[in-house]
Amino acid sequence: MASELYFSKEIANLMYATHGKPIKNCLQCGTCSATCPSVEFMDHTPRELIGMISADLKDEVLASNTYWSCASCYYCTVRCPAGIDIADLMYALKRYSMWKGAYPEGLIGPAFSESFIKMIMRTGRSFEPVLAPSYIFKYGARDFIQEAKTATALVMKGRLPLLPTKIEGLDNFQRMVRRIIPIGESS
Amino acid sequence: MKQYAYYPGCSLESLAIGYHLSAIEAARALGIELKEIEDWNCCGATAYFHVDELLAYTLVARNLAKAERVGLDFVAPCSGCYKNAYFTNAYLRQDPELAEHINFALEADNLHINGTTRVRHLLEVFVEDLGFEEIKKIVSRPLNGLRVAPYYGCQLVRPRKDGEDIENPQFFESLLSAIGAEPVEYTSKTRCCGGSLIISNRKAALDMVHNLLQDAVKHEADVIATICPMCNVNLELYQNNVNREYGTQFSIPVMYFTQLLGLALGITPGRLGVGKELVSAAPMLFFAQSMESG
Repeated sequence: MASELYFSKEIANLMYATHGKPIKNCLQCGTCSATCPSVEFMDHTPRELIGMISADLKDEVLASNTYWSCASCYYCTVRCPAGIDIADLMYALKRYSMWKGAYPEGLIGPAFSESFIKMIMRTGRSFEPVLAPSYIFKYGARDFIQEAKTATALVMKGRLPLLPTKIEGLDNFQRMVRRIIPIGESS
Repeated sequence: MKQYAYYPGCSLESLAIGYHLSAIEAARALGIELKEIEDWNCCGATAYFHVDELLAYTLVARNLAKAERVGLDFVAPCSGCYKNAYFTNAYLRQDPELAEHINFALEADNLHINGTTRVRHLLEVFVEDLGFEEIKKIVSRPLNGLRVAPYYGCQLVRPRKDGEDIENPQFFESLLSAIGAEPVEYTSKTRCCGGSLIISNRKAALDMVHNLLQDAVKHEADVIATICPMCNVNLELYQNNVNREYGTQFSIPVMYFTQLLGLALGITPGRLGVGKELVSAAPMLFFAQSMESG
């Protein structure tokens, strides 16, 4: 009988490539939660989330907005007395939830990351005007107007080009990407 | 002239054009040539790492390999680009299997990487390779009395790279003192600005921007100095949003450290991209000019 791969093991495997200590070393001291600048916007504190992973509460972890609220500031990582790279754990959980297509409704993070990457694959560069507007609608009319005002002022100041740039060696660049993610040769 | 392989990153071509201009100008005045890496690609910011780790490392490695080929230190003015480059370089040096994977992909672009390049943040280059005394000697228009809040943000100091002080670093303050300014002491200098959340979690990001602005203003800063385009954009362009959300009236200029350095070196504001701010830096400039004539 194939042994069941527990959720906590799956996450431990994902963390293998990172360079911190495994989460089983967690002391549940709460230094991460006390340090986190985003904690009041999370439905579980980082400490709770680590406890939930250790208890194999997979569905609850996948329903949590905690890792999508992580700002990647790495304060938890540098302060963790058990040496766990908690910010990298948050990245691992983001990847896991994107692979599974499982995250709470209404989150902008997953769709934003996806469109960001698609843009890089097309051009090799990031370009703000393509990225931001589609999400601004979610914040309501007042924010949208504010955003439009800011964008107009930025164009006037020469800080917002209207056309995206592309790298020159795009063919080789895309061939390189296909060696990592084999999506087939385009003709 | 000492040369570096310069990796500007995407925002320095648009929102942070003032950082790009002032970095080049200030460096040149200090005898440093920032040679732009040819045909660089986006470092992936945080998004690549949300999707695929190996792809993320490969995209960063492409830029590093180009710096390695010309045999120069890789220099990034953006803390996000810097962190991605620093750790990709370190990890592939420590992990031959990772390096092999990455090199298999890089081959398709006729590149190869060994991880031998030194990865630096632009501020580090000024601080470590020139030093405060050297800079002080070349300053022609010291920003005497100007109260500047040095904002380190996150990824320049975190995760820890070598033995640096991550809780209370001082080198930014020392640089500001070297150009005659008065560094403001405030506790938020290494707190996060919420940059990577400004689109995906606006409420959380504005909360972080609000806390930072409040702390800098409470300590009577005339200007906030930044070392990262993401921090700058967040603290500057979202002051209006913060004011509306919190009923505050912040209007504090946010400038790149290279712009302040450039002014102190006697470079004209226009060549440093000063004047492109949406929160006007004019009061600060009047001050700098009055110091010069007075």
